[in-house]
Amino acid sequence: MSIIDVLYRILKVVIYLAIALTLLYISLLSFSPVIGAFALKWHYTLLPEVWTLDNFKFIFSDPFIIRSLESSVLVAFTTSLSSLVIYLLVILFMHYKEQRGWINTLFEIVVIIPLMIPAILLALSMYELYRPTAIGGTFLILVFAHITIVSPYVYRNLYSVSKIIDMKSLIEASRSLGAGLFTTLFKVILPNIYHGLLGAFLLSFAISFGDFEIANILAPWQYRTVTIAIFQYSFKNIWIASAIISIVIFVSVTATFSVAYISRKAIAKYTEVTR
Amino acid sequence: MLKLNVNKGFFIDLLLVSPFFLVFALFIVAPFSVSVYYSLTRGSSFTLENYIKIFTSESYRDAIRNSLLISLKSSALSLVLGTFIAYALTFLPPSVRDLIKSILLLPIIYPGLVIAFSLVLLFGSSGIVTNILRMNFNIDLPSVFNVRSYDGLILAYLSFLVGFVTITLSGVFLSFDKTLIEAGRSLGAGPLRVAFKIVFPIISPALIAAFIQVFIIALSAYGTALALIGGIGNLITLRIITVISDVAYDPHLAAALAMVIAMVSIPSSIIYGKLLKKVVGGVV
Repeated sequence: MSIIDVLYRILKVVIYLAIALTLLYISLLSFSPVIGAFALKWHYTLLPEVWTLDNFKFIFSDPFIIRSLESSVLVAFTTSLSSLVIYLLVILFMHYKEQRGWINTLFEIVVIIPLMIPAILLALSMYELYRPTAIGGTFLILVFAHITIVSPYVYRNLYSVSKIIDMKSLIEASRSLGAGLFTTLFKVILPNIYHGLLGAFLLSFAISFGDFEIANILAPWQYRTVTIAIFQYSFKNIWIASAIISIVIFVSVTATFSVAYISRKAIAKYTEVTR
Repeated sequence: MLKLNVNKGFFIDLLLVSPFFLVFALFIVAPFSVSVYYSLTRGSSFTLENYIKIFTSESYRDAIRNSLLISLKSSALSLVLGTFIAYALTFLPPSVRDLIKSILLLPIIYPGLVIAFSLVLLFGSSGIVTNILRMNFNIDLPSVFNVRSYDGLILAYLSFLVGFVTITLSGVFLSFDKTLIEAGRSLGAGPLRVAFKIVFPIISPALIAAFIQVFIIALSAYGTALALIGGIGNLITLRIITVISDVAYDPHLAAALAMVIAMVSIPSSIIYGKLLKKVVGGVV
Protein backbone atom coordinates (compact mmCIF):
# COMPACT_ATOMS: atom_id res chain seq x y z
CA MET A 1 0.00 0.00 0.00
CA SER A 2 1.49 3.31 -1.04
CA ILE A 3 1.68 6.41 1.11
CA ILE A 4 -1.02 8.06 -1.01
CA ASP A 5 -3.48 5.27 -0.29
CA VAL A 6 -2.78 5.68 3.40
CA LEU A 7 -3.47 9.38 3.10
CA TYR A 8 -6.82 8.71 1.43
CA ARG A 9 -7.68 6.15 4.12
CA ILE A 10 -6.89 8.70 6.84
CA LEU A 11 -8.94 11.35 5.06
CA LYS A 12 -11.90 9.03 4.92
CA VAL A 13 -11.68 8.28 8.63
CA VAL A 14 -11.41 11.99 9.42
CA ILE A 15 -14.47 12.76 7.30
CA TYR A 16 -16.61 10.09 8.91
CA LEU A 17 -15.43 11.15 12.34
CA ALA A 18 -16.40 14.75 11.53
CA ILE A 19 -19.88 13.63 10.48
CA ALA A 20 -20.35 11.46 13.55
CA LEU A 21 -19.23 14.21 15.92
CA THR A 22 -21.35 16.88 14.23
CA LEU A 23 -24.45 14.70 14.26
CA LEU A 24 -23.84 13.77 17.89
CA TYR A 25 -23.40 17.43 18.81
CA ILE A 26 -26.54 18.51 16.97
CA SER A 27 -28.64 15.68 18.37
CA LEU A 28 -27.35 16.42 21.87
CA LEU A 29 -28.31 20.08 21.51
CA SER A 30 -31.63 19.24 19.92
CA PHE A 31 -32.86 16.61 22.30
CA SER A 32 -31.46 17.43 25.73
CA PRO A 33 -34.31 19.90 26.38
CA VAL A 34 -36.76 17.08 25.59
CA ILE A 35 -35.22 14.99 28.36
CA GLY A 36 -35.06 18.04 30.57
CA ALA A 37 -38.80 18.52 30.10
CA PHE A 38 -39.40 15.36 32.15
CA ALA A 39 -36.91 16.25 34.85
CA LEU A 40 -37.59 17.46 38.34
CA LYS A 41 -33.98 17.14 39.40
CA TRP A 42 -31.11 16.67 36.96
CA HIS A 43 -27.62 17.64 38.01
CA TYR A 44 -24.99 14.95 38.25
CA THR A 45 -26.08 12.03 36.08
CA LEU A 46 -26.50 11.27 32.39
CA LEU A 47 -30.27 11.09 32.77
CA PRO A 48 -32.47 13.00 35.21
CA GLU A 49 -32.31 11.88 38.84
CA VAL A 50 -36.00 12.49 39.45
CA TRP A 51 -38.51 12.21 36.63
CA THR A 52 -41.82 13.99 36.55
CA LEU A 53 -44.72 15.03 34.35
CA ASP A 54 -45.40 18.13 36.40
CA ASN A 55 -43.63 20.43 33.93
CA PHE A 56 -46.16 19.55 31.25
CA LYS A 57 -49.01 19.76 33.73
CA PHE A 58 -47.78 23.21 34.63
CA ILE A 59 -47.45 24.54 31.09
CA PHE A 60 -50.92 23.30 30.18
CA SER A 61 -52.42 25.04 33.18
CA ASP A 62 -50.50 28.29 33.03
CA PRO A 63 -52.71 30.86 31.21
CA PHE A 64 -49.73 32.84 29.91
CA ILE A 65 -48.15 29.78 28.26
CA ILE A 66 -51.47 28.51 26.87
CA ARG A 67 -52.15 31.95 25.44
CA SER A 68 -48.67 32.02 23.87
CA LEU A 69 -49.20 28.58 22.33
CA GLU A 70 -52.52 29.72 20.89
CA SER A 71 -51.03 32.86 19.38
CA SER A 72 -48.10 30.92 17.92
CA VAL A 73 -50.42 28.40 16.28
CA LEU A 74 -52.65 31.20 15.00
CA VAL A 75 -49.71 33.16 13.57
CA ALA A 76 -47.98 30.11 12.09
CA PHE A 77 -51.16 28.78 10.53
CA THR A 78 -52.17 32.10 9.00
CA THR A 79 -48.61 32.69 7.77
CA SER A 80 -48.25 29.36 6.05
CA LEU A 81 -51.73 29.44 4.52
CA SER A 82 -51.39 32.95 3.13
CA SER A 83 -47.85 32.46 1.86
CA LEU A 84 -48.99 29.26 0.14
CA VAL A 85 -51.77 31.13 -1.64
CA ILE A 86 -49.48 34.02 -2.62
CA TYR A 87 -46.73 31.82 -4.03
CA LEU A 88 -49.09 29.34 -5.65
CA LEU A 89 -50.50 32.25 -7.62
CA VAL A 90 -46.99 33.40 -8.48
CA ILE A 91 -46.02 29.92 -9.68
CA LEU A 92 -49.21 29.70 -11.75
CA PHE A 93 -48.42 33.07 -13.27
CA MET A 94 -44.92 31.95 -14.18
CA HIS A 95 -46.25 28.95 -16.08
CA TYR A 96 -49.47 30.42 -17.38
CA LYS A 97 -47.87 32.90 -19.72
CA GLU A 98 -44.66 33.06 -21.66
CA GLN A 99 -41.75 33.73 -19.33
CA ARG A 100 -40.73 37.34 -19.01
CA GLY A 101 -37.21 38.31 -17.98
CA TRP A 102 -37.83 41.04 -15.43
CA ILE A 103 -40.48 39.10 -13.59
CA ASN A 104 -38.17 36.13 -13.16
CA THR A 105 -35.49 38.42 -11.77
CA LEU A 106 -38.00 39.71 -9.27
CA PHE A 107 -38.91 36.23 -8.13
CA GLU A 108 -35.25 35.32 -7.82
CA ILE A 109 -35.00 38.17 -5.35
CA VAL A 110 -37.67 36.43 -3.26
CA VAL A 111 -35.23 33.65 -2.54
CA ILE A 112 -32.61 35.98 -1.13
CA ILE A 113 -34.83 38.45 0.73
CA PRO A 114 -34.36 37.02 4.22
CA LEU A 115 -30.63 37.00 3.61
CA MET A 116 -30.56 40.47 2.09
CA ILE A 117 -32.61 42.26 4.72
CA PRO A 118 -31.78 41.15 8.27
CA ALA A 119 -34.83 40.08 10.28
CA ILE A 120 -33.92 42.55 12.99
CA LEU A 121 -34.05 45.45 10.49
CA LEU A 122 -37.35 44.28 9.06
CA ALA A 123 -38.92 43.88 12.49
CA LEU A 124 -37.60 47.22 13.67
CA SER A 125 -38.89 49.19 10.72
CA MET A 126 -42.20 47.35 10.52
CA TYR A 127 -42.74 48.20 14.17
CA GLU A 128 -42.11 51.87 13.45
CA LEU A 129 -44.17 51.88 10.27
CA TYR A 130 -47.26 49.92 11.30
CA ARG A 131 -47.57 50.63 15.00
CA PRO A 132 -49.96 53.55 14.42
CA THR A 133 -52.02 51.68 11.80
CA ALA A 134 -54.89 49.23 12.16
CA ILE A 135 -52.71 46.11 11.93
CA GLY A 136 -50.26 47.42 14.55
CA GLY A 137 -51.83 45.81 17.59
CA THR A 138 -53.04 42.60 15.94
CA PHE A 139 -51.34 39.31 15.16
CA LEU A 140 -51.44 40.24 11.46
CA ILE A 141 -48.32 42.38 11.73
CA LEU A 142 -46.45 39.27 12.85
CA VAL A 143 -48.01 37.25 10.04
CA PHE A 144 -46.86 39.70 7.39
CA ALA A 145 -43.33 39.78 8.76
CA HIS A 146 -43.26 35.97 8.82
CA ILE A 147 -44.50 35.74 5.22
CA THR A 148 -41.32 37.50 4.15
CA ILE A 149 -39.03 35.15 6.06
CA VAL A 150 -40.72 31.92 4.96
CA SER A 151 -40.95 33.03 1.32
CA PRO A 152 -37.82 31.23 0.03
CA TYR A 153 -38.89 27.94 1.59
CA VAL A 154 -42.39 28.13 0.14
CA TYR A 155 -41.25 29.42 -3.24
CA ARG A 156 -38.47 26.84 -3.59
CA ASN A 157 -40.72 23.95 -2.63
CA LEU A 158 -43.51 24.93 -5.01
CA TYR A 159 -41.10 25.83 -7.79
CA SER A 160 -39.27 22.51 -7.66
CA VAL A 161 -42.57 20.62 -7.64
CA SER A 162 -43.80 22.61 -10.61
CA LYS A 163 -40.63 21.59 -12.43
CA ILE A 164 -41.04 17.91 -11.50
CA ILE A 165 -44.61 17.66 -12.76
CA ASP A 166 -43.88 19.86 -15.79
CA MET A 167 -46.60 22.30 -14.91
CA LYS A 168 -46.28 24.26 -18.13
CA SER A 169 -47.32 21.31 -20.29
CA LEU A 170 -50.10 20.44 -17.86
CA ILE A 171 -51.55 23.93 -18.07
CA GLU A 172 -51.20 24.01 -21.84
CA ALA A 173 -52.86 20.62 -22.21
CA SER A 174 -55.68 21.57 -19.91
CA ARG A 175 -56.26 24.88 -21.66
CA SER A 176 -56.13 23.39 -25.14
CA LEU A 177 -58.89 21.00 -24.04
CA GLY A 178 -60.99 24.03 -23.22
CA ALA A 179 -60.62 24.29 -19.45
CA GLY A 180 -60.63 27.71 -17.87
CA LEU A 181 -58.17 28.93 -15.27
CA PHE A 182 -60.19 27.78 -12.29
CA THR A 183 -60.94 24.32 -13.69
CA THR A 184 -57.25 24.01 -14.52
CA LEU A 185 -56.33 25.08 -11.02
CA PHE A 186 -58.69 22.88 -9.04
CA LYS A 187 -58.94 19.82 -11.29
CA VAL A 188 -55.45 19.62 -12.78
CA ILE A 189 -52.84 21.60 -10.86
CA LEU A 190 -53.79 21.16 -7.21
CA PRO A 191 -54.24 17.35 -7.30
CA ASN A 192 -50.77 17.11 -8.83
CA ILE A 193 -48.87 19.39 -6.49
CA TYR A 194 -50.57 18.70 -3.17
CA HIS A 195 -47.40 17.10 -1.78
CA GLY A 196 -45.41 20.24 -2.64
CA LEU A 197 -48.09 22.33 -1.00
CA LEU A 198 -48.04 20.12 2.08
CA GLY A 199 -44.25 20.27 2.32
CA ALA A 200 -44.20 24.04 1.94
CA PHE A 201 -47.00 24.37 4.49
CA LEU A 202 -45.24 22.25 7.10
CA LEU A 203 -41.88 23.97 6.66
CA SER A 204 -43.29 27.47 6.85
CA PHE A 205 -45.46 26.50 9.81
CA ALA A 206 -42.42 25.22 11.68
CA ILE A 207 -40.32 28.27 10.83
CA SER A 208 -43.02 30.71 11.80
CA PHE A 209 -43.77 28.72 14.97
CA GLY A 210 -40.10 28.74 15.95
CA ASP A 211 -39.36 32.36 15.15
CA PHE A 212 -38.08 34.41 18.04
CA GLU A 213 -36.11 37.21 16.46
CA ILE A 214 -39.05 38.94 14.78
CA ALA A 215 -41.67 38.08 17.39
CA ASN A 216 -39.51 39.47 20.19
CA ILE A 217 -39.60 42.92 18.61
CA LEU A 218 -42.92 42.91 16.80
CA ALA A 219 -45.41 40.81 18.77
CA PRO A 220 -48.13 42.90 20.45
CA TRP A 221 -48.42 42.11 24.16
CA GLN A 222 -51.61 40.07 23.82
CA TYR A 223 -50.00 37.93 21.11
CA ARG A 224 -46.75 36.97 22.82
CA THR A 225 -45.59 33.84 21.03
CA VAL A 226 -44.31 30.59 22.48
CA THR A 227 -40.64 31.46 21.85
CA ILE A 228 -41.04 34.59 23.96
CA ALA A 229 -42.48 32.39 26.70
CA ILE A 230 -39.39 30.17 26.42
CA PHE A 231 -37.12 33.17 26.70
CA GLN A 232 -38.89 34.43 29.80
CA TYR A 233 -39.08 31.04 31.51
CA SER A 234 -35.42 30.23 30.79
CA PHE A 235 -34.58 32.74 33.53
CA LYS A 236 -37.17 31.38 35.98
CA ASN A 237 -37.30 27.60 35.72
CA ILE A 238 -35.23 25.74 33.16
CA TRP A 239 -37.28 22.53 33.34
CA ILE A 240 -40.50 24.35 32.54
CA ALA A 241 -38.66 26.19 29.76
CA SER A 242 -37.49 22.76 28.53
CA ALA A 243 -41.07 21.54 28.46
CA ILE A 244 -42.13 24.49 26.28
CA ILE A 245 -39.05 23.98 24.09
CA SER A 246 -39.96 20.34 23.59
CA ILE A 247 -43.26 21.43 22.05
CA VAL A 248 -41.35 23.63 19.56
CA ILE A 249 -38.96 20.74 18.92
CA PHE A 250 -41.89 18.40 18.33
CA VAL A 251 -43.28 20.78 15.70
CA SER A 252 -39.90 21.19 13.98
CA VAL A 253 -39.10 17.47 14.01
CA THR A 254 -42.53 16.53 12.66
CA ALA A 255 -42.23 19.14 9.93
CA THR A 256 -38.68 18.36 8.74
CA PHE A 257 -39.07 14.60 8.77
CA SER A 258 -42.43 14.61 7.06
CA VAL A 259 -41.16 17.05 4.44
CA ALA A 260 -38.25 14.71 3.70
CA TYR A 261 -40.65 11.75 3.58
CA ILE A 262 -43.21 13.50 1.38
CA SER A 263 -40.67 14.81 -1.11
CA ARG A 264 -38.99 11.40 -1.42
CA LYS A 265 -42.37 9.78 -2.05
CA ALA A 266 -43.27 12.44 -4.59
CA ILE A 267 -40.00 12.18 -6.47
CA ALA A 268 -40.26 8.38 -6.54
CA LYS A 269 -43.82 8.60 -7.84
CA TYR A 270 -43.02 11.02 -10.64
CA THR A 271 -39.78 9.41 -11.77
CA GLU A 272 -41.76 6.17 -12.01
CA VAL A 273 -44.39 7.86 -14.16
CA THR A 274 -41.86 9.38 -16.53
CA ARG A 275 -39.86 6.18 -16.68
CA MET B 1 -62.66 40.06 -29.77
CA LEU B 2 -58.91 40.28 -29.69
CA LYS B 3 -59.08 43.30 -27.41
CA LEU B 4 -61.33 41.41 -25.01
CA ASN B 5 -58.84 38.59 -24.79
CA VAL B 6 -56.03 40.97 -23.97
CA ASN B 7 -58.08 42.57 -21.23
CA LYS B 8 -59.05 39.22 -19.78
CA GLY B 9 -55.43 38.10 -19.81
CA PHE B 10 -54.33 41.27 -18.13
CA PHE B 11 -56.99 40.85 -15.47
CA ILE B 12 -55.87 37.30 -14.75
CA ASP B 13 -52.23 38.40 -14.56
CA LEU B 14 -53.17 41.07 -12.09
CA LEU B 15 -55.20 38.62 -10.04
CA LEU B 16 -52.29 36.20 -9.90
CA VAL B 17 -49.45 38.51 -8.97
CA SER B 18 -51.08 41.38 -7.11
CA PRO B 19 -50.97 39.67 -3.67
CA PHE B 20 -47.27 39.08 -4.08
CA PHE B 21 -46.59 42.65 -5.18
CA LEU B 22 -48.70 44.01 -2.37
CA VAL B 23 -46.78 42.05 0.26
CA PHE B 24 -43.48 42.85 -1.42
CA ALA B 25 -44.18 46.59 -1.51
CA LEU B 26 -45.81 46.93 1.89
CA PHE B 27 -43.70 44.61 3.99
CA ILE B 28 -40.29 44.61 2.35
CA VAL B 29 -39.79 47.76 0.31
CA ALA B 30 -41.69 50.13 2.60
CA PRO B 31 -40.10 48.99 5.89
CA PHE B 32 -36.66 49.06 4.33
CA SER B 33 -37.22 52.60 3.07
CA VAL B 34 -38.38 53.59 6.52
CA SER B 35 -35.15 52.23 7.96
CA VAL B 36 -33.07 54.18 5.47
CA TYR B 37 -35.08 57.32 6.27
CA TYR B 38 -34.80 56.87 10.04
CA SER B 39 -31.10 56.20 9.89
CA LEU B 40 -30.55 59.45 7.99
CA THR B 41 -32.69 61.66 10.20
CA ARG B 42 -32.87 62.86 13.76
CA GLY B 43 -36.02 64.66 14.74
CA SER B 44 -37.16 65.65 11.28
CA SER B 45 -33.99 67.01 9.69
CA PHE B 46 -31.62 65.03 7.54
CA THR B 47 -28.30 64.35 9.17
CA LEU B 48 -25.48 61.83 9.22
CA GLU B 49 -25.29 62.17 12.99
CA ASN B 50 -26.38 58.56 13.66
CA TYR B 51 -23.70 57.07 11.47
CA ILE B 52 -21.05 59.45 12.81
CA LYS B 53 -21.99 58.41 16.34
CA ILE B 54 -21.59 54.73 15.44
CA PHE B 55 -18.33 55.01 13.59
CA THR B 56 -16.62 57.37 16.01
CA SER B 57 -17.63 55.60 19.20
CA GLU B 58 -15.02 53.08 20.32
CA SER B 59 -17.66 50.83 21.85
CA TYR B 60 -19.77 50.66 18.66
CA ARG B 61 -16.67 50.04 16.56
CA ASP B 62 -15.79 47.24 18.93
CA ALA B 63 -19.29 45.78 18.46
CA ILE B 64 -18.91 45.87 14.68
CA ARG B 65 -15.48 44.25 14.91
CA ASN B 66 -16.77 41.50 17.23
CA SER B 67 -19.75 40.78 15.01
CA LEU B 68 -17.63 40.53 11.87
CA LEU B 69 -14.96 38.42 13.56
CA ILE B 70 -17.42 35.96 15.09
CA SER B 71 -19.29 35.61 11.81
CA LEU B 72 -16.05 35.08 9.93
CA LYS B 73 -14.75 32.43 12.33
CA SER B 74 -18.01 30.52 12.59
CA SER B 75 -18.63 30.56 8.85
CA ALA B 76 -15.09 29.42 8.04
CA LEU B 77 -15.39 26.53 10.49
CA SER B 78 -18.84 25.53 9.27
CA LEU B 79 -17.67 25.71 5.66
CA VAL B 80 -14.90 23.18 6.32
CA LEU B 81 -17.16 20.83 8.30
CA GLY B 82 -20.12 21.22 5.96
CA THR B 83 -18.01 20.50 2.88
CA PHE B 84 -16.71 17.30 4.43
CA ILE B 85 -20.21 16.19 5.36
CA ALA B 86 -21.70 17.07 1.98
CA TYR B 87 -18.94 15.11 0.27
CA ALA B 88 -19.37 12.07 2.49
CA LEU B 89 -23.14 12.12 1.99
CA THR B 90 -22.64 11.12 -1.64
CA PHE B 91 -21.30 7.72 -0.52
CA LEU B 92 -24.34 6.98 1.62
CA PRO B 93 -27.62 5.43 0.46
CA PRO B 94 -30.40 7.97 -0.23
CA SER B 95 -32.43 7.05 2.86
CA VAL B 96 -29.50 7.63 5.23
CA ARG B 97 -28.67 10.80 3.31
CA ASP B 98 -32.19 12.12 3.84
CA LEU B 99 -32.05 11.25 7.52
CA ILE B 100 -28.76 13.10 8.05
CA LYS B 101 -30.03 16.07 6.06
CA SER B 102 -33.18 16.20 8.18
CA ILE B 103 -31.13 16.13 11.37
CA LEU B 104 -28.96 18.95 10.03
CA LEU B 105 -32.08 20.90 9.10
CA LEU B 106 -33.40 20.76 12.67
CA PRO B 107 -31.23 23.48 14.23
CA ILE B 108 -31.98 25.69 11.23
CA ILE B 109 -35.67 25.57 12.02
CA TYR B 110 -35.32 25.80 15.80
CA PRO B 111 -35.34 29.23 17.32
CA GLY B 112 -31.74 30.27 17.91
CA LEU B 113 -32.34 30.66 21.60
CA VAL B 114 -33.04 26.94 21.98
CA ILE B 115 -29.49 26.24 20.84
CA ALA B 116 -28.14 28.63 23.44
CA PHE B 117 -30.45 27.14 26.07
CA SER B 118 -29.24 23.60 25.37
CA LEU B 119 -25.59 24.66 25.38
CA VAL B 120 -25.97 26.23 28.81
CA LEU B 121 -28.02 23.27 30.04
CA LEU B 122 -25.22 20.89 29.03
CA PHE B 123 -21.97 22.83 29.23
CA GLY B 124 -22.80 25.89 31.33
CA SER B 125 -21.13 26.59 34.67
CA SER B 126 -23.58 24.24 36.41
CA GLY B 127 -24.55 22.28 33.32
CA ILE B 128 -25.01 18.54 33.29
CA VAL B 129 -21.87 17.62 31.35
CA THR B 130 -19.88 20.12 33.42
CA ASN B 131 -21.17 18.57 36.63
CA ILE B 132 -20.46 15.02 35.47
CA LEU B 133 -16.92 15.96 34.45
CA ARG B 134 -16.34 17.74 37.75
CA MET B 135 -17.72 14.89 39.90
CA ASN B 136 -16.20 11.93 38.11
CA PHE B 137 -13.10 13.14 36.32
CA ASN B 138 -12.18 16.20 38.37
CA ILE B 139 -12.16 18.39 35.26
CA ASP B 140 -13.36 21.96 35.62
CA LEU B 141 -14.89 22.66 32.22
CA PRO B 142 -15.68 26.40 32.68
CA SER B 143 -12.02 27.16 33.35
CA VAL B 144 -11.09 25.47 30.06
CA PHE B 145 -14.06 26.55 27.96
CA ASN B 146 -16.77 28.94 29.02
CA VAL B 147 -19.91 28.65 26.86
CA ARG B 148 -21.09 32.11 27.83
CA SER B 149 -18.38 33.72 25.71
CA TYR B 150 -17.70 34.60 22.09
CA ASP B 151 -16.16 31.17 21.54
CA GLY B 152 -19.30 29.58 22.96
CA LEU B 153 -21.33 31.66 20.53
CA ILE B 154 -19.22 30.37 17.65
CA LEU B 155 -19.85 26.82 18.84
CA ALA B 156 -23.59 27.56 18.98
CA TYR B 157 -23.59 29.09 15.51
CA LEU B 158 -21.76 26.05 14.12
CA SER B 159 -24.72 23.82 14.96
CA PHE B 160 -26.98 25.50 12.44
CA LEU B 161 -24.48 26.94 9.94
CA VAL B 162 -23.14 23.47 9.14
CA GLY B 163 -26.61 22.48 7.99
CA PHE B 164 -26.83 25.40 5.57
CA VAL B 165 -23.42 24.59 4.05
CA THR B 166 -24.16 20.88 3.76
CA ILE B 167 -27.52 21.37 2.09
CA THR B 168 -26.15 23.94 -0.36
CA LEU B 169 -23.20 21.76 -1.28
CA SER B 170 -24.79 18.32 -1.27
CA GLY B 171 -26.54 18.94 -4.59
CA VAL B 172 -23.23 19.99 -6.13
CA PHE B 173 -21.40 16.94 -4.84
CA LEU B 174 -24.20 14.61 -5.96
CA SER B 175 -23.85 15.82 -9.53
CA PHE B 176 -20.06 15.84 -9.25
CA ASP B 177 -18.31 13.38 -11.55
CA LYS B 178 -16.30 11.24 -9.15
CA THR B 179 -14.29 9.59 -11.90
CA LEU B 180 -12.31 12.84 -11.96
CA ILE B 181 -11.14 12.18 -8.41
CA GLU B 182 -10.38 8.56 -9.25
CA ALA B 183 -8.39 9.71 -12.28
CA GLY B 184 -6.37 12.15 -10.22
CA ARG B 185 -5.81 9.54 -7.57
CA SER B 186 -4.66 6.85 -9.97
CA LEU B 187 -2.23 9.32 -11.52
CA GLY B 188 -0.64 9.66 -8.09
CA ALA B 189 -2.14 12.89 -6.75
CA GLY B 190 -2.51 13.17 -2.97
CA PRO B 191 -5.71 14.28 -1.24
CA LEU B 192 -4.61 17.92 -1.01
CA ARG B 193 -3.65 18.07 -4.66
CA VAL B 194 -6.94 16.46 -5.70
CA ALA B 195 -8.83 18.87 -3.48
CA PHE B 196 -7.14 22.01 -4.78
CA LYS B 197 -6.67 21.07 -8.44
CA ILE B 198 -9.83 19.10 -9.17
CA VAL B 199 -12.56 19.50 -6.56
CA PHE B 200 -12.31 23.18 -5.56
CA PRO B 201 -12.31 24.65 -9.07
CA ILE B 202 -15.56 22.82 -9.80
CA ILE B 203 -17.37 23.51 -6.56
CA SER B 204 -16.00 27.02 -5.93
CA PRO B 205 -19.20 28.93 -6.92
CA ALA B 206 -21.19 26.81 -4.48
CA LEU B 207 -18.48 27.16 -1.82
CA ILE B 208 -18.47 30.93 -2.09
CA ALA B 209 -22.27 31.04 -2.13
CA ALA B 210 -22.43 28.87 0.99
CA PHE B 211 -19.83 31.02 2.71
CA ILE B 212 -21.72 34.24 1.97
CA GLN B 213 -24.96 32.67 3.13
CA VAL B 214 -23.67 31.50 6.49
CA PHE B 215 -21.67 34.68 7.03
CA ILE B 216 -24.75 36.87 6.67
CA ILE B 217 -26.83 34.55 8.83
CA ALA B 218 -24.24 34.64 11.59
CA LEU B 219 -23.98 38.41 11.27
CA SER B 220 -27.67 39.19 11.46
CA ALA B 221 -29.02 36.51 13.83
CA TYR B 222 -29.48 37.60 17.41
CA GLY B 223 -31.61 35.02 19.23
CA THR B 224 -28.69 32.79 20.15
CA ALA B 225 -26.48 35.70 21.16
CA LEU B 226 -29.20 37.26 23.30
CA ALA B 227 -29.82 34.04 25.21
CA LEU B 228 -26.14 33.09 25.50
CA ILE B 229 -24.24 36.33 26.10
CA GLY B 230 -27.09 38.81 26.40
CA GLY B 231 -25.70 40.86 29.25
CA ILE B 232 -21.99 40.56 28.54
CA GLY B 233 -21.51 40.45 24.77
CA ASN B 234 -20.89 43.46 22.59
CA LEU B 235 -22.33 42.73 19.13
CA ILE B 236 -24.15 44.98 16.67
CA THR B 237 -27.39 43.04 16.97
CA LEU B 238 -27.26 43.06 20.78
CA ARG B 239 -26.66 46.80 20.72
CA ILE B 240 -29.76 47.23 18.54
CA ILE B 241 -31.83 45.28 21.05
CA THR B 242 -30.43 47.40 23.88
CA VAL B 243 -31.23 50.61 22.01
CA ILE B 244 -34.83 49.64 21.28
CA SER B 245 -35.65 48.08 24.65
CA ASP B 246 -33.98 50.83 26.62
CA VAL B 247 -35.81 53.60 28.42
CA ALA B 248 -34.06 55.92 25.97
CA TYR B 249 -35.79 54.34 23.00
CA ASP B 250 -33.96 55.60 19.90
CA PRO B 251 -35.29 54.26 16.57
CA HIS B 252 -32.90 56.48 14.60
CA LEU B 253 -29.79 54.98 16.12
CA ALA B 254 -31.27 51.47 15.94
CA ALA B 255 -32.06 51.93 12.25
CA ALA B 256 -28.54 53.17 11.56
CA LEU B 257 -27.07 50.16 13.38
CA ALA B 258 -29.31 47.81 11.41
CA MET B 259 -28.27 49.58 8.22
CA VAL B 260 -24.64 48.78 9.07
CA ILE B 261 -25.57 45.09 8.88
CA ALA B 262 -27.56 45.71 5.70
CA MET B 263 -24.53 47.41 4.12
CA VAL B 264 -22.75 44.08 4.37
CA SER B 265 -25.72 41.80 3.73
CA ILE B 266 -27.25 43.50 0.67
CA PRO B 267 -24.22 43.51 -1.66
CA SER B 268 -23.11 40.07 -0.55
CA SER B 269 -26.55 38.53 -0.94
CA ILE B 270 -26.74 39.91 -4.48
CA ILE B 271 -23.48 38.12 -5.24
CA TYR B 272 -24.96 35.07 -3.51
CA GLY B 273 -28.02 35.21 -5.75
CA LYS B 274 -25.87 35.41 -8.88
CA LEU B 275 -23.69 32.49 -7.75
CA LEU B 276 -26.75 30.46 -6.87
CA LYS B 277 -27.76 30.28 -10.51
CA LYS B 278 -24.57 28.35 -11.23
CA VAL B 279 -25.14 25.97 -8.35
CA VAL B 280 -26.84 22.69 -9.10
CA GLY B 281 -29.28 21.23 -6.63
CA GLY B 282 -31.42 22.53 -3.83
CA VAL B 283 -30.82 25.32 -1.42
CA VAL B 284 -32.90 25.75 1.70
